[in-house]
Amino acid sequence: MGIQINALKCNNCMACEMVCSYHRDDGFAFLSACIVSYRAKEKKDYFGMLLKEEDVLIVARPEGIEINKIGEEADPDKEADASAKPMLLREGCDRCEDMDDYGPMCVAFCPVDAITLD
Amino acid sequence: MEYLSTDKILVIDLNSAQVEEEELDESLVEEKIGGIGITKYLYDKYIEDDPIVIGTGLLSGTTYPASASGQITAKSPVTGKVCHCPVIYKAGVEIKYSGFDYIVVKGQSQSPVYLWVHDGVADISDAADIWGKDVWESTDALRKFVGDDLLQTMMIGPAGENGSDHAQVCYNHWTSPDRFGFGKLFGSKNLKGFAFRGMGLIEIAEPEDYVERSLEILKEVKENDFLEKKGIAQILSALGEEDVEAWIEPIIHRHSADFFTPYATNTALFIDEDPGLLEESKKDEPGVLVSDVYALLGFKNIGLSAVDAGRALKACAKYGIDPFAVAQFSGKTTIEEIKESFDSIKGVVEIPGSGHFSPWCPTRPIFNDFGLSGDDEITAWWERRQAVSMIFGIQPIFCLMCPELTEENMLELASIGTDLELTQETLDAVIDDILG
Amino acid sequence: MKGPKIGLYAGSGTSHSWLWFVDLFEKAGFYDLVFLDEFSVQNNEIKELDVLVVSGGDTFAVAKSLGKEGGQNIKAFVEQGGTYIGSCAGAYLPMNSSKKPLDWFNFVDVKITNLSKTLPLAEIKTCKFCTSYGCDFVFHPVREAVALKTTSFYGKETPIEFTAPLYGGPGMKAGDPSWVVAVYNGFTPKTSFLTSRKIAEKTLINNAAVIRVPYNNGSFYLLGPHLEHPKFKEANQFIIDAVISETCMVQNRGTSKYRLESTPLKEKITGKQAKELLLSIRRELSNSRIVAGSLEFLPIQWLIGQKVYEPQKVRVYLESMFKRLKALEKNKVLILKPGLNERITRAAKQLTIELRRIKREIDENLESLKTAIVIFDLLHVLSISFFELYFTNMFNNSVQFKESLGNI
Repeated sequence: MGIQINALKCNNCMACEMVCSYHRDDGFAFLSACIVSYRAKEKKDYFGMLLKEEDVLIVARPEGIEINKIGEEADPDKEADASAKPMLLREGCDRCEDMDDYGPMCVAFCPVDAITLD
Repeated sequence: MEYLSTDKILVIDLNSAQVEEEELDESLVEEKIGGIGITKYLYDKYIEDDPIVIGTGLLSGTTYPASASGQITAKSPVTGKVCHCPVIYKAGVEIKYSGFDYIVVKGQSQSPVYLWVHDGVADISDAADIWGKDVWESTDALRKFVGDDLLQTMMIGPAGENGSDHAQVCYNHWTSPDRFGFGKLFGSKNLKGFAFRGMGLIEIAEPEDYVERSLEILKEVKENDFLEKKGIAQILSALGEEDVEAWIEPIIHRHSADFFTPYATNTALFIDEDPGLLEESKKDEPGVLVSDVYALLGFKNIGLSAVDAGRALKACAKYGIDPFAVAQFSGKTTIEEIKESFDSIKGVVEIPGSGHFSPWCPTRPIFNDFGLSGDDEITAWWERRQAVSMIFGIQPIFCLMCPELTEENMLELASIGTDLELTQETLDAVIDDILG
Repeated sequence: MKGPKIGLYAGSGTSHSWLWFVDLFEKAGFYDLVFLDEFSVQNNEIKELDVLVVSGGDTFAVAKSLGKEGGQNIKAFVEQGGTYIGSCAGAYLPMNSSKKPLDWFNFVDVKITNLSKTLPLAEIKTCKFCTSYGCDFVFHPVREAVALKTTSFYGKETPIEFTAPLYGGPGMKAGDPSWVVAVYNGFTPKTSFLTSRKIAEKTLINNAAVIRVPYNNGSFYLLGPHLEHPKFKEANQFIIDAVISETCMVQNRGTSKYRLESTPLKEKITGKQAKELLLSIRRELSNSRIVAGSLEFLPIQWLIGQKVYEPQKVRVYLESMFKRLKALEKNKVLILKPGLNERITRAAKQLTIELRRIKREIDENLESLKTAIVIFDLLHVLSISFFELYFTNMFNNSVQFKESLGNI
């Protein structure tokens, strides 16, 4: 059972990021989420999502999904290694296993059902 | 004010470059609720200083659906009335997470400044490097300087610096709901704008109840058929302008939404790039994000092609001028002539109803009819709906689409979230005060 | 019993894991914390401590920074009754070694089990897998949570099983079996294997994970995993129990060091000056953490010495300080060493400048390693200064509170 992301359905509203962070912090914030709206390329209208799971980082780009195994690097001696993984110190997704009423919060709260549970 | 709040009101005196903080008292929230209920109160409190008041709705930045907006309250230098302009995209929410619920800006700076608001700190910063730059250049420069592309800005461009009646305060790179000439007001104070960024945490009185009820309301909202639609063209179709869709379709890239808003009220037009491109464009500025349905329609109605309409919207966003006013009053029909006319735009934008709310927002229900009939009933409803959306911080266009977002459940969530008793009577009184 | 005075080494060569000790000790109510850089160890400011903690990082860099003099001071500290707690890199440090500069720290007869003449095959290719050690390799068979079990030498009737994360720390063999307090007992569902399971088992299982070496009047604790990690409460308790029991033992033996209750070299600042200092700290920490937040998503890392540093680690330091600001801002009076306010302000401002610089360098595809080195050095300077300010005031508040209870 896994979280599936349809990046083209996503409307970049950040609901997932908010509720994931709530799940970890018990308040409204954006600090601790393991699912993050990638929105740093606003002028280019390029947005997607990053989801950190225990072993992998899922990069949901509009052009397709990329799954990267955490811990692997292409060239460890290279200073700026393009395959080094972001979000390493955030906790991996636990599918909100302690929240029986909702299941994964991001799935429950996505207003456009871009995030589903397989 | 412990919950749903940063508990802080910032008061900035541009004359003396003094920055002070006040506590947001619970009694004020009990009396005025939030958003423009309180910005109006603060405006009146500091009226002698011709203040600009930035606010956030009581529910802004929470799990209540479409809790996206902030507000600007000020006296329009064009209409002379106290007006309220929504702060949309992600900028409205960023205000609260930067550490302040309300910001009052008084007086006039002796030299150009911008206000850098971050994590409960407000710095009056020298704007010499960005004064004279357009909105896009200014936002890009500040993001580069601060080191964060997620910085949210409210900026004026040359139109505001030159004192144009149609100068807008723009948000990030995009035009805004400002039809009141607030850009001119900013310019007159030597205020280039605001930059916001914060990683705050907002506490909730009853978090589990609040979140549970938010989800119930969201589920009701998601029952609506209109959520299968997206973007500004479909809004215009719902308003009777069906031919816009076919006209604009070839240059639509993607649609996006404001914070937590189920309907994508913003459409990106690619005018210098293949609109079908899904990968990140190699071009720095492939297009423009549009939320102003009437500006788009206006450019169509003067005979521009979709691409030229996109170019015109982009030029307006950079210049910091109201694109609707440009479309209405420029009298020009080519893109080059339109750009050249920016400094000479003359005309008065009609503000509907009591003149407090922006006609950027369609003045009728969208997709759902809310059981209304007759122009008078619709106008009265619209004004009330705008007031409610800006008290609670709800995306104002979405508020016109969604009957499931009721005053009752907004009050309910506000009470659960704050542990205060907020009643319909209080809300009615606040609205009456706002509408005068 | 008087609370222990604990020194945390936070100088050159350390990574961010000493911050976990800060959280741990603060939760346990131990506010008498001293933050040390390499100069303070060399100047023997550790002699007044009850406990010295050296956490994770680059063992070679730590040894080089502390130098021969630092090594001698640590030896004397433990001989005279002090307790040394070394976690991960800090565990490697006092083990016998022929390699320079580690040979200045040959205090305990403990060997590591994760040393090999030939490099085992890596299941996952990562620069965290191994470090060269002369002609040999120190390799790391697993990362993340591993299962530990206490031995009969821990002093409890029944063994205690708990988990703790391993991030490059050693498996160990002790010169004396009675030194072994806990062993590696197994792996967990969260364990990430960097080698084959067979090699991992051979290297770790039933070998020492936690060793206590009595040393004249004091003791060395060597912790292979990070028992101080905030997500591992039982492991945390192990450390607290060790600190309490060691401090009690030393006090009961009468070998407790003389300690001044208050240091004369402190000043008080109040009112506007205090407010301005705190606002200045908040301003620069905010400016820094905003850039650090944007670096978090960039695919980059830096190899500094033998250790890999990711940009997210910058945020760890900054958040650790930022979250304590509110508590500090409640103080109307601030107590601090003369010059500390200037040091903090200067370091904080410079950190913002350097972080903004590195963001530009990365955005423009320029070399950023030099700036990264400066940033991590500045983080040490700033965090040492900040925590000194914070815990001086926390300790003072707690002393005043206890005194007020005494007066009731």
